[in-house]
Amino acid sequence: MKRLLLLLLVVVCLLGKVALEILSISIPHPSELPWGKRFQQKAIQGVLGGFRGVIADLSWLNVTLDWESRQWVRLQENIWVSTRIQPESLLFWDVGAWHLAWNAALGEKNDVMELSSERRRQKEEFWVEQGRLLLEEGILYHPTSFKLWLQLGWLHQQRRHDYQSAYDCFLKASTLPGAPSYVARLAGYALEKQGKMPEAIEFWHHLLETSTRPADRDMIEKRLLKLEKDSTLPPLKSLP
Amino acid sequence: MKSLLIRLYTLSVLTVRELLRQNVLYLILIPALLTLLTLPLFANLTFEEQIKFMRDFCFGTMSVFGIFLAIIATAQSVANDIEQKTILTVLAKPMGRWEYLMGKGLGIGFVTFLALLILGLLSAGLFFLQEPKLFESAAANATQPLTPQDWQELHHQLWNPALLIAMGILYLKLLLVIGFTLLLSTVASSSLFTIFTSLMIYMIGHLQSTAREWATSVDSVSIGVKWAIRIAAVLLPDMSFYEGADRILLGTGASWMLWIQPLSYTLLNLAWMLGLATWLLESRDFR
Repeated sequence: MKRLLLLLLVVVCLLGKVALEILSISIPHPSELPWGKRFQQKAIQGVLGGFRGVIADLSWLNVTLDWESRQWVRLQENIWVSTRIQPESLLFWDVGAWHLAWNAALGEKNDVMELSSERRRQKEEFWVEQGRLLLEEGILYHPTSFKLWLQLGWLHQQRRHDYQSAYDCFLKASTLPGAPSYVARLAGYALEKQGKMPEAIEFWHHLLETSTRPADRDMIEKRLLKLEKDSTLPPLKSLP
Repeated sequence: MKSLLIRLYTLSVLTVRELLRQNVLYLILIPALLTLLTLPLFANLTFEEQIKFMRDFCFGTMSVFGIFLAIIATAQSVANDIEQKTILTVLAKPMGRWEYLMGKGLGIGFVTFLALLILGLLSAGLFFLQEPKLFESAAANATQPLTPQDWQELHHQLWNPALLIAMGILYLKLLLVIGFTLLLSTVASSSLFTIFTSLMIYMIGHLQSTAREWATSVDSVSIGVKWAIRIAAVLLPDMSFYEGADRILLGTGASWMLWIQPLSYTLLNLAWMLGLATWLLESRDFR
């Protein structure tokens, strides 16, 4: 009788455990990562245990040292290690892309040891591209983070001068949770940079309708006044 | 009821004394403390990076040494009792075998709690010592003078009360590790076997939720594999229930609700593990 009761307890608790696990599966997974990457992450988590974050951080310490010594290839390798070990950390993707697309790219652009300007340009483009790829991969892990979309927008705008892609990224970032109000305005500026003044004016009007903060409304109104005043000029000439 | 509590208390106190006498706690705690004391050596980062590093370092030390302590202490404790025949003396008393297992578990759970508390206090002390330097660097790197609100935000980042929830979740995870190590030690003949098998189960525990998800959503998986994964899911613990602690450390989610799921999962698992361990222990002949 005692053993039967024990067996019953075991079975009931196991059923409860399975029910909890089924419940946890039915919650939709935000990540669209392929299975291979998800297994890789879990395996790293299991093998490194609690020290996963520390190992990722130690590799990150090397990123800072590589930046100071201008070792761009090693810098990229260390960013790769940190982001693979702990992809949940936004900081690694965000700052890693900044290192690649800004620091490494500008470091190559201004490299006095490289005499060919064409080679310098190619290297600069290479690092900007690496930064873009890193951010796009980071977005796979953090699809709802406005920070990575915002950084990707900056990269398109400042490093690639691709204002349409910048507009798309800023707009996407502005719709994500936690995005500050200035992110939506960046999308408006990106439209202006493309010379699409009618679209920009329409965008600002729409933003004015949806904004509730007085400070934001004030800024948007000023921008609209300026744009409407300048819109008699040919679009490209009205750019600052 | 009162006598049951007295028996459990006596047995857990005996387990704590035995663990302290065997120096298991000190052997694991001293390297952990020394590891934590190296933290100030890594101070070449920005405020945000430094905060992340300090949290990861302290929490990682607690987690790794905590798991080793939970597994080694549990495996040693039961194996020693069986090897030295102490278990015969204990079980000769009017005491159920589940009481013996529960008393052991409570004692080891208390020692683990003590270790986490010591490591947690040392971490807090290190945070306190690093605080002025960190704030100084944050102020130096800021593009404009920091407002009182900014200072409050920085202070909150360093002394985030959600870190206590993360420690609580880690403790629940350690209790689960104690549970399955105790279950294994009732059938194992050597403590070394228990230690290695427990470590393997711990690692598999991290993979099993993804394996289960994969098996349920990919059509090409054969029925045999699907059933093997289902059986593993029933019997092995799922460590993804404790990922809330990681989310708190990374600052991507902190809520008191994060407690509920790991707490219920740990209690359910401990209950079935205790039931099965009692059954196995009752079937075992110690002569």
